[in-house]
Formats: sequence, structure tokens, C-alpha cells
Amino acid sequence: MNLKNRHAVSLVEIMIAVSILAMSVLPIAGLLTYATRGTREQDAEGIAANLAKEEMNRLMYVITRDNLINGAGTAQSWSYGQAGRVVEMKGNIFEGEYTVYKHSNSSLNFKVPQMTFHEPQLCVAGGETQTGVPGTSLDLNMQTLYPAITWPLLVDICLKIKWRLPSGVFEPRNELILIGRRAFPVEN
Amino acid sequence: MKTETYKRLFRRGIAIPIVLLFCLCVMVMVSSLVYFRKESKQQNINTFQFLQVNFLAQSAAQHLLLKLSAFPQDAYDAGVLSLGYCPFRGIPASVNEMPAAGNKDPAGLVTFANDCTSANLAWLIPGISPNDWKYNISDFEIISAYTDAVKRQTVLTAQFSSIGEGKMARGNMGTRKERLVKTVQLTGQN
Repeated sequence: MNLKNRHAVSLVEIMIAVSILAMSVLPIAGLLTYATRGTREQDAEGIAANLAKEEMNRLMYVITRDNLINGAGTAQSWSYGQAGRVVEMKGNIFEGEYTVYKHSNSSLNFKVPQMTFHEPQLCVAGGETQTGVPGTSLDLNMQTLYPAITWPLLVDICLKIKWRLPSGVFEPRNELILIGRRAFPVEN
Repeated sequence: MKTETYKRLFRRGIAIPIVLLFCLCVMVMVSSLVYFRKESKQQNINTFQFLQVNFLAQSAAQHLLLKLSAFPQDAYDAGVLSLGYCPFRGIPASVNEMPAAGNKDPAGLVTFANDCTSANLAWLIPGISPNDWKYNISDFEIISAYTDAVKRQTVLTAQFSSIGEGKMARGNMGTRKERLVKTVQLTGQN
């Protein structure tokens, strides 16, 4: 092989190599952008899950009854909103709101097992017999049983959280809904 | 001279293999990046679903706790009967003084817990499909009982399992269930 031929081969070879490089690097750059965006979305999803859990725990166990049912039926701002319902964390915008729905006490019916027992005086140590009749039940209404209770004994809570990048818009896929039911036990 | 010729021959055609190797390495790297991204995304969806279902299970517990607070005596009686003991007598801690148990009948406890379900009390939240957001109490049993002689009080330790069941449209996830176990004390005066 002479020197002239070798030079020509190198040039063609380099041109082919550069074109292969260009063809592969361009899609790879696109994939990298996709992966970077995905990482950021996952970051936002992780933060959203933590915020939702904390807020729902607050609504289920921490916030007082009066504060919770105040404004029931309409969407209320969550506790993280510094200005309204929006909070910014790690470059992502989160927006949350919750709505409380009150169950009327008159709609709360419970089945209570009915049992009849023997005469207490007839008990013999070591030889008790039960004459209870479990299996039968009585439907009891909470409003009828506890007419003095004016607050709702049970409420439904719906928490909605959505998130976006500062430059983006809220999309349905970036939304998390948590629902729960909180009871306010009867104070005997 | 011979060595120089070899070197030149070796250099010839090296650019394309180097580029191909480089491309292969970058592709492997990007592929693994995309794969781990998908895995991580699935984990987030799992977390979302866990949260949803876990709060449903907690709702079931709240529902039963409300009922226990409203009907403590009935729960206590049903608990004692589930052990086969007489509700009017104490249950001493001493084995020698233990009363003989009669027929153990848990039916009272089952009746007590059975109506604490989301199906029994519809959600008031609009747009919620009751089939996708469900809860119930799977079991309610007494795990220990003793009488505090000083207080003249029998203490039953009851345990119940609340089940949350949810279906999430996102990520084509199927139905998920979470079980929450809670222990409560039921007391009765002797």
C-alpha cells in the first residue's frame, strides 16, 4: 500500500466515524434530556407523596374537630401554602387543598349484638354457663341515641395535591388524591 | 522501518472502532438511566397507592373506634362471651382460680365489627368510585383478659384488623390491599 492511498483511507474513515458519532450522539442527547426531566419529575413525586402523607396525618389526627369541620363542604387551603395554596420546594410548585364532608348523625346506624344473660346470682364459680345469644342484632341510630351531640361524629376528608415545574402547567397525571374518614368518638 | 509500517497499518481503521465503542458505552449508560428511571417511577406509583390504601385502612379503624366509643358495654359483653366466660364474674390472673370457660362464641364480636365498612356508609366525596376505595374490618378478637381486683374491673385486650382496598388508574396498577392491626382495651365493672 503506498502513502497516497493510506491518506485517502484515513480521510474517508474519519468522515464515516464523525457521521456515526453525530448520528448516535444526537438521539442520545435527546434521551439524556428525557432522563433528566424524568429525574426531576420523580423528585417532585417523592416530595408530593411526603407532603400528602404529612398533611393527611394532620387532618386525620392532629387538627381539632372544630378547625377541621370549619368550612366543611368547600375546598380549604392545606397547611403548607405560604401564599394561598402554593408552595415551592426544590424548584417545583406544589398546590394542595382539602375538603371535609360531614356525615349527618342521623345517617349513622350501627348493628349492635343482642345478648341476654343469666341471673347474676346464679353464677357458680368454676361452672359458669353463658346464656348469651350472640348473632342477633339491633339497628341503632346515633342521632336517636345521642341527641345532645351537635357535632358530626364522622367526616370524610379528601386531600388533593398537584405539582408542576415553575415553567410548566398542572397536568392530570401530576395529581395525587388521598381520602380518609375521621371519627370523633362519643365522650361518655 | 518495519515497526513504523506496522504502526501505520495498525492506526489505519482505528477511528471507526473507537467511535463505535464510544457509542456503545454511551448507549449502555443511557439505557441503564432510562431503565432505572422507569423503576423509580414505578416505586413512586407504589408509594402513592400505598398511601391511598393505608389511609383507607385507617378509616376503617376510625369507623370501628367510633362504634366502640358509642357502645362500650356491648363490645365488652360480646368480648367476654367470645372467651366463654360469664360477664358477671371476674377473671383472676391466677391459673388456679380461673373460671371454667363455657362455649366460646365470637358471633357477637363479628356482628359488632361487620358493619364498619365503606359499603355500609357511602363516601360523601363526589367523583369517588366506591369500588375503587373500600375498607372493612377483617377480624376482631380478644387476645387477653384479666380482672383488676383493686379496681374491680375486668380488662379485655381486643385486637382488630382493618383492611383498606384501593385501585389506582395511574400506572395500570391492580387492586392493592393494606392491613392495619390495632389493639384496644375494653373494660367492664365487676
